[in-house]
Amino acid sequence: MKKFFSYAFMAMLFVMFSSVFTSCASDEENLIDDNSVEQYKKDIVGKWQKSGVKEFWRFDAQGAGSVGYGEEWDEADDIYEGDDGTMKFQWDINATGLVIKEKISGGYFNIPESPFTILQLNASTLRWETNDHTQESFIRLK
Amino acid sequence: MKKPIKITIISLGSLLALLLIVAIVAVNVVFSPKRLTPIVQKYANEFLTCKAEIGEVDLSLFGSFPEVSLRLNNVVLVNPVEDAQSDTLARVDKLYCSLDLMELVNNKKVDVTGFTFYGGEANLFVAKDGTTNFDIVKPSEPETEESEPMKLDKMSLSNVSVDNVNVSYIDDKLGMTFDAFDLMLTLSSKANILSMSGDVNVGNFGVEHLCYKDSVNTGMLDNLALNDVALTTDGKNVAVKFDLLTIADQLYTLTGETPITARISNMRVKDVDGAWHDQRPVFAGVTTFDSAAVVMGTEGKQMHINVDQSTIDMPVTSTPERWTTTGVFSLNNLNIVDDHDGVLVKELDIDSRFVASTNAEFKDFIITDMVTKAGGQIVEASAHVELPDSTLIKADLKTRVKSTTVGELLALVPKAYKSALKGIDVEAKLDDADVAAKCEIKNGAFSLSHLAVSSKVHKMDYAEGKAMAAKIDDLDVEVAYPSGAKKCEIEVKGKLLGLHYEQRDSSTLIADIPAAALTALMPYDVIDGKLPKADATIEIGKINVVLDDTIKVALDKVGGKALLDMRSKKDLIALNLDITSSKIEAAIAQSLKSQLSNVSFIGSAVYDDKQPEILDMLNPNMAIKMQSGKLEIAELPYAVNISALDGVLTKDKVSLNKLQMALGNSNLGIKGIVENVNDWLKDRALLEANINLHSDIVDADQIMEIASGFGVSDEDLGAESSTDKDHATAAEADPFIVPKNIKVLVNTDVKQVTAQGNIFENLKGKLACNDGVLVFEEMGFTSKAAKMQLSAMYKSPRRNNLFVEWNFHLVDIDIAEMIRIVPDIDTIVPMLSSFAGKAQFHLVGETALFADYTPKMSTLKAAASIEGTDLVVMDNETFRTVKKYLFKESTPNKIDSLSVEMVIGRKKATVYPMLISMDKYQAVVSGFHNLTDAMPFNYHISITKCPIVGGHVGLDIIGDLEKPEDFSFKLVGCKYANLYRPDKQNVTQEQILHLKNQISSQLRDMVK
Repeated sequence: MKKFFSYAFMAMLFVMFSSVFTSCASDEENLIDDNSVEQYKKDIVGKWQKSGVKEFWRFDAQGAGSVGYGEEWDEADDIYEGDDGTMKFQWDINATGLVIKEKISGGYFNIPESPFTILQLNASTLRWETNDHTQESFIRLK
Repeated sequence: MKKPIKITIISLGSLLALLLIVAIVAVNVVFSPKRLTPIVQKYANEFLTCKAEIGEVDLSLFGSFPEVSLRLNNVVLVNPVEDAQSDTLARVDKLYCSLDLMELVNNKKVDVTGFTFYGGEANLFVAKDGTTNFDIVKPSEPETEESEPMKLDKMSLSNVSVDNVNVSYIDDKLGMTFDAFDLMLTLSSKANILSMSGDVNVGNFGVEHLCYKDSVNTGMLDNLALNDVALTTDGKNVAVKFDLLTIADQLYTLTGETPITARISNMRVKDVDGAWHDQRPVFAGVTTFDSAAVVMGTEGKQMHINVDQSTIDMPVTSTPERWTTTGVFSLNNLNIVDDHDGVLVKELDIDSRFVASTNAEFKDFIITDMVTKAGGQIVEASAHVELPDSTLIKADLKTRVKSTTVGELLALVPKAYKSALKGIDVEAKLDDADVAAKCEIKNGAFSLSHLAVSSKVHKMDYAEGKAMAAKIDDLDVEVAYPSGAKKCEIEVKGKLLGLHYEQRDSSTLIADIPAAALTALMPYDVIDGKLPKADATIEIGKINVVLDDTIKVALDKVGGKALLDMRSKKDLIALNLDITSSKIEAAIAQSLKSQLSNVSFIGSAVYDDKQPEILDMLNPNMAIKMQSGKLEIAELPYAVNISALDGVLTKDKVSLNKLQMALGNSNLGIKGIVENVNDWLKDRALLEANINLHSDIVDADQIMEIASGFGVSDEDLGAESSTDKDHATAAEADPFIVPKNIKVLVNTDVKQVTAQGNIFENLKGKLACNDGVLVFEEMGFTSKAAKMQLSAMYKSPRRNNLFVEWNFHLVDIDIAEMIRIVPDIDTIVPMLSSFAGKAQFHLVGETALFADYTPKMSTLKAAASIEGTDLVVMDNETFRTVKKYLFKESTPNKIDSLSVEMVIGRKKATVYPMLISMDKYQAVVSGFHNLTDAMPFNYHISITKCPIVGGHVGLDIIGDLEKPEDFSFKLVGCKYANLYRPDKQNVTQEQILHLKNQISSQLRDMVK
């Protein structure tokens, strides 16, 4: 990673001397209306596969969910659903988007909740943008 | 038998009195039967109170002159008494009476010189009120001159003959009956029967059948015959002498709770020469009998005693003070058979001689010089028995069993018990064994006041078939009573030399004890058959035990006290021990070798042989102390050197007051409690322990190597598989497997811990292992890299699927050193290796691990914060290049401050915007990188302060680390220009800072 930062600083020099200035971006907030929230909560229940990769998300109606990376969870890691370490979470949808609640270290630490912006959610397709502005698409399996 | 004799004498006296009357009548007037009979009848009626019937009386004056002979036929005396066996008191078929005619004529004196009874019977009766049917003589009236009676001055029976007479005597007052059938007697005497003085020669005395019976006893004799008896008496003294008394058959029975029947056949009493003179006896005579049989007990519970040809010779001499006999008896072919136990004695010959004496009051008996030979065994004995009153018997006994062999003693063991000795071979030589005892029986209750026993055994060989053999060179045993502080106990002392014991059955046990001494105190009542309670003192020089050629135990100088109690708890043996051993060495094949010094066991145990498990069987409550010890256990790669042990072992708990030991490189001081030991051994509960560990140094790697997999089977770990070629397979790696079936809490206080080549100091905190789960609870420690606090949980459900969650805080961390200690941190927080210097690092996370502890990225979830100042951020060459263009010459290679918050999950590490300041420059960096092989990343840099361009420039850098030449750099808008300007922040920026604060505050709050 040291190389990464070296490259980054070299890049910064390039930026500074290029005299190409771009104004700073501003973030906008798009809130979801109540009806859509309720509909999304129903539509999201099921098992979804991330486009192009073996990443499976399951959303249960009771608000629980998990992420797996294979048919049984992650064969490559020699780990199976039910083993300690499988990625489990609680989910909710509110006006700001899909909230994934995760705890680690036996519940001592709550990963800060940062809603995913729901871009599309219907019977077959789920698409969201994460808090680091990555867009991810899913197709429904069940 | 005295009573019947007395009665017989009285009866005979009555008949003689009748004869006397008849003789007087005959001498005075009557001579013809016709004249004589009424006269005799008349005199009889006057003389007797009962009815007398006389058939015929005649008199012969010349046949035996100067004696006159009177003959009476069919004499009957009738005296009815209620409940008597007959109204007829006596009946005589023929009665002859001889008188001295000259004495009668000249001196008017009646001198009966002989009489003969032939045929007849006597029925004598005593009623319950004492009334008899034989008190038939009228009281004498005052004498007158006209009728001066003739006097019966002398009854010197020179010839007496009795033949074919039956006598029946019933005494309702005493509750007894006596019958004699076919009584025959001939005697000649010059004695005066009236004065009971003179000599009597009994020619023959015989009874065909005698029968005696009272409420509890019955006696029957058949064919009693006594010949040639010389009897001399002066009324006070008597001497008797005869050659032979024979009784063909005797049968005696005694009823009661333990009925006894005795039959003696063909008894002969020979050469009797006895006297009763001045109230003391002299006797000589030998009694023999062909056989005797005694049966004791009730049907089905009887003991049968039989003896053949036997002799008893007990001559008696006497002084005014004592009567003494020098006795000899010989019993041949003694057999004793018990219905329950079978043959107790078989064909045993007993010969005994002794000197016995008693005082005239029969209250003081002394037996001396008694020598009894039973089989091949000789026993010497003496005794002093006192009977001060009817309720008390005091005895002082001394016995010596002469030097013998065990074989000779075993010959005396009842056959019934020999079945228990089947297969047992014993050979030994025994010295004289002495037994001395003083005892008393008061009101039937036995008590012992003194007992001393001593015995020595040499060269004893004992074997039970091929299964067991024991050899003892010498064994001394002494028993003494009374002993103990309260003088109420029995003391047993034993000294043993050269014990060699071998047991060879399902297992082989060989034990050697060169020398041992045992002293035991037991309550007196063990003599009554009560189970023993022994207070013993033990001294054993050395014990060597070899079991199955694999287990070897050697104990040196074993000594102390032991209390053995078999009576307080039914079917259990209680044991109190205070035992020490200077050295205990034990070895179990190649698996264990131990050497313990100065070991003590103080406490109790209750032995229950019905329990299958060892702790249930022993139920210990034992304090164990040891000064030093060394254990070499094959399964442990390191020896255990114990420098002190002080603990208490019970069935369920081990209390360690102190255990100081060295294990490998570790020094361990342990204090605490281990519980559920017994249930844990039975797989019914977890073994629970709560211990404090104090140590100067612990080698964690060695300890983990030892503890790994304890209580875990391969089945518990399940099937292994690993599809990841980059990781060692479960078989190749050897991860720490958390022990199972235990629940241990260790409060640690360790000055130095070494692990993986690192040194940590002042480790304090709690370490818990709970059935496959290992927990570090707020454990604090330091190293030269940082001060640390760790809470963690580690599980090992499968060898290739370990799981760990942690809460790790490092204060004042040296980053490079920390990465060296925990290399995986570089994977989780990749940019950490880009910095150098000290910082605070907080990391919380969880992940599954491969067998080689490599994280399984699909499971990795973590959050971290790094806060530091003055961190070196670039290598010097790069920095010098950059410095030429951006910084002053004096600018150091450091960033002013760094605050990183990041979250890892779903194979991705997300870095929240972090502010980096260096000199006059300031930038905010954020982005993510995937935790996959190539680690693709996407980062954004916002230049928020720059003296050259003024700031507000953004750059996105995208690529993966494996292909730096393909990095994509793209100028973009400045995302975080106002992130650290509160007055200009937008909602998203506020939220980002809020998230950062959430992360850092949560993590910091975990530091205790």
